[in-house]
Amino acid sequence: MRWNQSRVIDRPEPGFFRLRFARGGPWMPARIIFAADLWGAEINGRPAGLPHRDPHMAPGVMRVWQGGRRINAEDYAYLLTLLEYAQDHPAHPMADPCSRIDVSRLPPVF
Amino acid sequence: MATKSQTRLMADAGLYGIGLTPPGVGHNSGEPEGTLIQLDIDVLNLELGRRLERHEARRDELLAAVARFDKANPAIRSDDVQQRATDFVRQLRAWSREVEEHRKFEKLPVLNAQRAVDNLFADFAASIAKAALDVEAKMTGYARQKARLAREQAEAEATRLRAEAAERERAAATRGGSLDGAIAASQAADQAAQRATAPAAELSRVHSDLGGVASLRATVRHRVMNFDAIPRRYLALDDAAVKLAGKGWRPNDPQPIPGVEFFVEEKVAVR
Repeated sequence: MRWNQSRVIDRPEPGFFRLRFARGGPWMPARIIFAADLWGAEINGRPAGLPHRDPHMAPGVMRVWQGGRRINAEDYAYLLTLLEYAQDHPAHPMADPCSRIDVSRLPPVF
Repeated sequence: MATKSQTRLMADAGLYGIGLTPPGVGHNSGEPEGTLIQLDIDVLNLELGRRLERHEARRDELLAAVARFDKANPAIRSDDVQQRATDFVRQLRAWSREVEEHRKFEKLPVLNAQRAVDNLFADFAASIAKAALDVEAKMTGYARQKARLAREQAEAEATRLRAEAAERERAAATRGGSLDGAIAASQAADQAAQRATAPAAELSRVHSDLGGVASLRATVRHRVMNFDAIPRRYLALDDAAVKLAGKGWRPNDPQPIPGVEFFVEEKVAVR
């Protein structure tokens, strides 16, 4: 499914996202949560900070909202699984999310 | 050591008197000291082959992956495979790019040396090359004049001999003498007329004492006087202008150039 990526830039909405930490780097899972009147964000499956009533004050929320791309829950779960795999495989690009992916250093895709 | 005929030639030309010595055997066979840059192509190939070894493992790995890809996917039927194929093409291109960069790295000193040699020799030889052109320009002027004069003389000679032949023919008719003189004059007139129509190269040719030959060379050149009058078979399509006219064209748009069909060719682009 292809998400409409347009959004009101200063009015975040909860949902699943993917974002890059570096140009040409791997896509990393991210999520904006709104529950019990509190805003919060999870990046790489971990909370970005303490939730806050004001989304602009909640760590990570605006970063994900403005820099991320919407995905569905299935893709989000897949990225989390990949992230788990990368923790045991240091050569995987997700193990070094702040660097550009160098495809010439990776094993052939097929 | 000059041969006997060379010595005689130089002596005849009076060149000893101005301090020139006759050239020896092999004088025109290149630099006697050998070239400054020594390149052994076999050694070069050997060394480059050794340096290319660093790319071999990855190449073999990728080729094995290509074989696996082809076997598993005679055609691509899903987004998943298309996505992976995107990264695969990027991997293949990354290898090609790496090897290309390596080639440029290895070739750079050769290119620089080539440019240095070319520039130095071009600058060094420029004044004499220009002088040769200047002398040739003067020679062309003289050769044209010589050919024109020779042609005019031959034409005048032909006219004179024809008149003489006619006069002798008349004299023979009135006095009843022989026509031999008239025939000879007529033949000489024909020969002179033939000389007058000889090619400019023949009329202008000179042979130098040292074996050089100079003559007018006629080269056919052209310039466009009326573009619209030129038959189509001599015209070439301006591809750049046609491409520009088709920029932004969509399949339902009218064709912008009569006689040219714009169509869309689709090909995957991998970034």
